Parts: sequence; C-alpha cells; structure tokens
Amino acid sequence: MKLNRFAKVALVAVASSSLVIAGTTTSNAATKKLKSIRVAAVVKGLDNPFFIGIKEGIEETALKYGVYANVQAAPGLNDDIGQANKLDSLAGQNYDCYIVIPISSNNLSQAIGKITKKKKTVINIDSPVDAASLKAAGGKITSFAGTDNFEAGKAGGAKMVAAIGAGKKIGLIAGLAGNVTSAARVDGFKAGAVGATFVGPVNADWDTTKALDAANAMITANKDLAGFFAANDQMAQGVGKAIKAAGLKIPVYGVDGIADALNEVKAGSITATISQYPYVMGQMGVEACIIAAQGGKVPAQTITPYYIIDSANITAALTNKSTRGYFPNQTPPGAYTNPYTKLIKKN
Amino acid sequence: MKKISRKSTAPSSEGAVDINFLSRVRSKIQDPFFWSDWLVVVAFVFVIAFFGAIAPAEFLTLWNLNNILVAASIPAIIAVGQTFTVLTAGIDLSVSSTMTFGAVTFGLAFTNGWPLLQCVLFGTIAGTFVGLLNGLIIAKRKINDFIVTLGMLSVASGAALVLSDGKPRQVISESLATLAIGDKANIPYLMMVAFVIVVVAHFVLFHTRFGTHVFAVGGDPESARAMGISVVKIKIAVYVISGALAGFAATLAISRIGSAEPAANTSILLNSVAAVVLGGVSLFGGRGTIFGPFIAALLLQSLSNGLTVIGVAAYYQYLSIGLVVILSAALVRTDK
Amino acid sequence: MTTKPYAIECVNIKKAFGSVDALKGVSMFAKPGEVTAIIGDNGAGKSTLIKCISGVYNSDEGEIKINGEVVEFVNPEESRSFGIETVYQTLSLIEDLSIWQNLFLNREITKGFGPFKILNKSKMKEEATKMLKNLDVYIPSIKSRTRRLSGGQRQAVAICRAAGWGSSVVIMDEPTAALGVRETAKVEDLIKRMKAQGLAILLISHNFDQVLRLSDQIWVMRQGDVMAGLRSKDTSGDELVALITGAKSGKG
Repeated sequence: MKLNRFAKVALVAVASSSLVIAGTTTSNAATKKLKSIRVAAVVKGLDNPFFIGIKEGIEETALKYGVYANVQAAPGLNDDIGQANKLDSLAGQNYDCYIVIPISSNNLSQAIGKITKKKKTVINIDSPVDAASLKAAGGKITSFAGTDNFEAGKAGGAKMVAAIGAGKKIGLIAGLAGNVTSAARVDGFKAGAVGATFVGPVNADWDTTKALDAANAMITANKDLAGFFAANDQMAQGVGKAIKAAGLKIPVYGVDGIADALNEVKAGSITATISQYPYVMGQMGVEACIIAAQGGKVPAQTITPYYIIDSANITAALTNKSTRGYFPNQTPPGAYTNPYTKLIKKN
Repeated sequence: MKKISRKSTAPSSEGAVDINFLSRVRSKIQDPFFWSDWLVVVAFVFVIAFFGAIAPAEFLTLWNLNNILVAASIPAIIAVGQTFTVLTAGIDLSVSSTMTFGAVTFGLAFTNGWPLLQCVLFGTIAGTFVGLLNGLIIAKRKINDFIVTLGMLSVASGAALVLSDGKPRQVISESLATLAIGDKANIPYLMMVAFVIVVVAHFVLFHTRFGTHVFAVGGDPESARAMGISVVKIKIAVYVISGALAGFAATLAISRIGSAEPAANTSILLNSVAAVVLGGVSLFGGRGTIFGPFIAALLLQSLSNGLTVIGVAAYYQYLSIGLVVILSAALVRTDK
Repeated sequence: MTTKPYAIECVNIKKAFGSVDALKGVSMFAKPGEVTAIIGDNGAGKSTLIKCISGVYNSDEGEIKINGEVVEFVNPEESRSFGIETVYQTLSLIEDLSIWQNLFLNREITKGFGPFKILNKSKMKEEATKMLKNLDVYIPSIKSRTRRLSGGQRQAVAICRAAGWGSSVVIMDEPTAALGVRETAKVEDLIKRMKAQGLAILLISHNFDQVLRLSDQIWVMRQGDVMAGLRSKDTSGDELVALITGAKSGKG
C-alpha cells in the first residue's frame, strides 16, 4: 500500500515534469483516491450564462472523475463581499481544493489567505486574482487557467487580414470605456491584423443597438471599410445589421461564441466569432484540483482555448453536444491543449 | 386562567408577586407585537440549532461562527441605518450605492495619500451627503421616498463610476487588514465595530428626545406635527443617519475586499430591508427596535452560511433565503 | 370685569381663503374658570376660529388678547408658549408610544448637557402619574401603549396633556363625539374639574344638551360671524337652534 502510493507519486512527478508549461508548484497534499477528493468552487453570479457554462464544466467533470464538487456563487454579479463570505464559509470545511473566480481582482484575497494558512489548494480560473493583494493577505494560487483576450483578438486579426488582404481599412467597435477585457481584445486584434489601417475603436458599451449606430456612422464616413471587429458577439450582431442595411458584403468578427452569434454565423449575418469555452475552464479547474490532491505537479498557468468559428466549422460547432444553451459548443470543434487531463491518475 | 385564580387565594406576599408576573406574561403573550419583537430571536436560535444539529462538526466550529460574525458586520450596520428610515415609515433604497459612493471617495482619498482616518471620515461624509440629499428632497419637496431613493440608487452609483472612471482602486493597508481579519476573544474586530454602532443607535433611539420623535413621526406624522415636532427635520435626520452609516460601512467593505470598487452591490440593499422586516420593524413606521434588525442580520448570514456549509446548491439558496424572509414577514405582520 | 381680565379675547378677527370669507370679523371672549362653548352649523367658522387662536392659521385682521394683552403668534408652538393648548378630535396621540411618552411628547424631560442629553424616564413617569392624578384620571398603567386604551381613556389622556404644562386656555374640539354615555360622563366630569382649577375652556360641540350642561358662556356662529353671545343659564336649546339656523337674529 505504502509502496504503491510512493510509486505513483514518483511516476506522476516524472511524467508531469516533461509536460509542464511554465513554472510549477507542488501541492502539499498526499495522494488521494478520486472518490475521496472534495472540491469547492465559488464562481461569479449565476445570472450570467458564461458562469453557468463554467459551473456545468465543473459539475460534469467532477461527475466524470467521481470527485465531489460543491459549486457556490456570489449572491449577485457585483456582490463582492457576499462572494468573499461564501468562500469564507467553505474555507473552514473539509475540502481539498478551492476553485475561485473573483468578482474583482481583490475581493477574495483575504479568504484565499485563510485557505492557504490551512494548507489547502486554491485554483484560480477565468479572472485572475491580483498578485499584490494576494501577497498582502498571505495567499497562494496553485494554478491559473484563463483566457488570453489579447491572443484571441490577435488570432481574429490575422484571420481577417488573410481573408481580405493587407492594407485594407477595418472598423473597430469596443465595449465599455476603460474595460480591460475590451481593450485586450481590440489591442490583440490590431496586433494580429498586420498591415491594416483602423477606424475607431468606438465604444458601444457591449450593446447591440449602440454598435449598430456606431457601425452606421463609420460606414457613412468611410466608404472604403473592408471589415469590422467587435469586442463581443452582441455588438457584432449590431454591426452585421448595419452592414446588411448598407448593402455591403464585408466581414464582421465577434468574440465569445454565444448561441445567437453561432446561429448568425450559420445564417451568414456574422462572419465569425472568436469563441471562448467556459465549460473547458470549469473542467480545467477541477482537473487541476485533482492533480494537486493526488500530490502531482500542477501547471502554474494555462491559457484556455479560443477558437475561430466561421462557415468552415460552424456545423461542427453547432452539433457539438449542445447542453449549454447560451454557450452551445462546449468544447472546441478542433484540437486544443489541455495540460491537466494527462496528469490525472485514475485510481 | 384557573391557575391565576388559585394563586390569588395564596396568602403569602410571594403569591401576589406571582400573579403580577403571570398576568404580565399573559398580557405579553397576547400582545401580537410581543411576537414581532421576539420572533427573530426564536428564528435565530432555531437556525443555529438546525444547522448545528445537521452539521455540528462544520457549522458549530469557532472558525465558522467567526465567519458568520464577520459576514454579518456590514449588513448589520446598513440595517441599523435602514431601521431609522423605516421607523419613520420611509425607506432608503439607495444604501448600496451610497456605500459604493463612500468607498470610491475613500479610495480617491487613499490614492492621494491621505491618512487612513481622514479617508474613513471622507467616505463617511460622502455617504452623509447622499443621505442629506435624500432627506432634503423627501422631506422638503415632499416627494415619495421610494422614488427619491430609487433615483438616488442610480445617481450615487453613477457618481461613483464617474469619480472612479469605472476602475477599482486598490487599498492595501496594514491597519485595514488587521481590522478585517483580526479578533479579540474570538469576536472579530469588524463585529465589534458593528456592535458599537448598534448599541449607540439603540441608545439614541430609546434614550434621547430625537429617538422618541422618530417613533412619533413614524407612528403618526400628523399628531407629531400637532405636538410641535418638526416632521421635516426628523425625516431629513433619518436619511442622514442612513447615508452616514452606509458611507462608514464602506470602510469595512474596503477592509474586507482590499479595494474601493465602483460597482454597486445591490444585495446589501436587499439584505438591509430583509433584516429590518425580520427584525420586527413595522414598514408602516413607528414601531421597532435596533436589536431586532441586528439579530436578523446575524440570522440571514447564518442561514446563508449554513446552507453553503451543508452543501445546498446555489440556486436553492436564493430560493430558501427568499422564502424565509417572506415567511417571517408574514408571521410578524403587524397591520392595524 | 375690571377685577379679572378675559383669559382670551378675540377682536374683529377676519380670515379669508381666496375669495371665501371664513371669518368676517369675529369678536368673542372666554373667562378663566369658565367653560365657553362655540356652537354653529358645519361651515359656520368654528374650526377656523379655533385654528386662528391655536396658531394653525394666521388671521388676516383683528387682534387676540391673552389676559388683556395683545399677543401675536404665527404657529402652534408660539400659541402654546402663551398657554393655549388644543385637543383636536384626532387627539394627536401616538398610538405606539406609551401614555407617559405621549404626555411628554416634544416636552421630554432630559438630563445631562449639550449633545449628551438623555431622557429622564423615571422623572417623566413620576410626573405623568401626577398629571393624571391631578385630574382624577385613572389609567391602569402609564407604561402601556396608547393603542390599548379605550376611547374615553384616550380623550382623558389628551385632555390631561393639554391641561398640564401651566396652560391657561384649553380648546376642545368635540371631546365626546366618539364616546359612549358612561365615558362621556367621565370626560364631562374631567372638564368640570379643569374648570374648578381655574382654566378657561373653549368647547366646540354639536351636542346642545352637553353645551347647556357644561358651559357658562355660549357663542353662536353662523356663516363666519358671531350671531350671539349668551350666558348658558339664560338660554334654551330652542333658542340656540333658532340662532344657528338663522330663524332668529341674535344681533338685532
């Protein structure tokens, strides 16, 4: 028995060292049977489909491995203190690992600090916990899995330039002024669209109607626009309407991969959506927890997949196990890297 | 009834005391208000006993009880302010964004290098100012409190977003961190602060002329006016109190989350109204206590904590907490 | 007349609401130690007159004298400071406050200084007991909520509150309108005791029997004017009805 466990730890250590991406951290927990692993997760408010996608990713993955998972959410989308209370309540309980998505970059730091003092693992997914406040609270994050909005935007930019050719003019529609996510997506797109010139970005506050109005104005002022990039799908829908009304045939790309956008990609009113996979984030969170509980080395940081869904792969995306509703294609229709799955021992 | 008449034949003077006591108990029990005052205590004991029975090893730990006290501290302070407005038959729907506004002003002061105490004062003054605006508009212009404070909910959070440019400001301070996680004799500092406010508020309400006038204005504004009480002044004052406490609570919120967030946290509002109703304060005004809403704030956090601890799924938690609030409100119904 | 000035005297009081003349130059008086009744049909101006005396309204013209001296007040507070108290039909009691709290409403006794003034509850309870005892009003407990009192008890508490505070004139608007026979009798006894203590009482009542039984002086009002001032012992119910309806002119 004892030898067996030793052998397993050694095996995992060897196996994982070759697979790990960046810096790694080793959990203090000893190897546990899958059945005895208990995971607690505190996500953002469940009034947002993105976080429902994450929740289902966590729950279904836990079910698949046979580990126990308790998913709790902040009482509301902005209830930063309520979310901290939830994590506090769970912190004292008998869990091996905690998956967290902080509402603000700081609000869970103190609660994480308490968990670290109890020598339990914390996995951070989606939105990163601020490093400075985490340090001040004495907290430690074992692994982070989240989207790189800049890279997602960059891939979109490259794709569009490849489609329309270099040296063309592209209109940019951004979300709320000062929003970090929007800025990363737009900046990424600009970096990817090598050789293109840009109009905007204009802030349309993530709103379909505002994006429609903004796109109309941009089309009127720039007859030579060759494409549009919107920082989310709702705005891309608005832009699509504006393009159609102007009688143009130019591409528009959105970001997120919500159900409506996929349908519009199928119908052709949106050219492509750079799809995100909340379900995969939840899955990676649970898998990271399992690795830590088994005493393995957990990759310190993983970028969750994004995938450009256009006419080429829309059918595959739409038929991809549609349990999410708002986010129907729960996993990418093509290959993506998940550094966690391979590190899990089935016991 | 029989018991009392038998007792009354007892010759000893002790018997006489007993009758007095018994009839007092009886008249208390028959008074529907007695139940609205005590229901929250009964419910609180019940909730603790309930979770204590199903999950003693998880729920009844020092760690967890400490968590409940920490979680209840901010709602308790906001509920105290809300109690004052509800006692005058009003309501302050702007508390959550007033707190946000206070937090943002605190954050501005902090990033400009002000000393901590001045930041606290600045945030409190900002909240007081919002409360004063509420009070002036409601009392002087005689506009419905519901509409005014609902509008202010939006105004204050808009102002917070404008002031902060929508960005959170990190507030890392050793003293605030100590306030947030420290305790003495297992009582968290945050709860001590909340309790001091509760005691002071109780004193103001029950041992000053102002307090009596708050009850009078809430119970019957016409009569209060006829007795020469300035209904306008009292109304302004209760909104000022509510705003000031919301502004002050921002300090506690910042200490807990380590930054001044510009987004309004509306569950603070729901929590405060629920605590006030559960705590036996009449929504028609003129009746209530401070300790009732305080215990209700503890009760609500215990409930939320207990459900999380025993692993009730998030969706069912919303459901059960809402049901408890409505059920209790039905039980403490005090229509005239 | 020269020995004792009127407790209150109104001289040519006029009050108009827009184009409606509510009071067209009313002159009347009330003596200390007497019950002075004001009677008249609805809209005769009784309420407007007492509201001018109690400071709720400011009269357009005329003067009010208290103990022979001309006074001016613009609100109920100032009127009260001259010793004029009013018991309205609504009684102005706060249902959810205790009896002693109501007796001391807005006149709370405090101890301490400045912002640290706190209520002196024991003193107020003590004084409240005295106030009630002074007028032989029996209430089971001054600590109980006013909500729990009967109509007559409430009336008694409201009257005691008005009679306390060293007031010289107590105005009562229909003090027994909502009461049964026994409670009415008790309130009437209370009014007699107040009279015996030297207060001037202004009584508005529709009940002629009561007016004749209780009052010493009667002023009959009609359409914003005083039709007649009579000594109660010299008049009858029939005469009062005739004056009120205008069948008989008091001034002629």
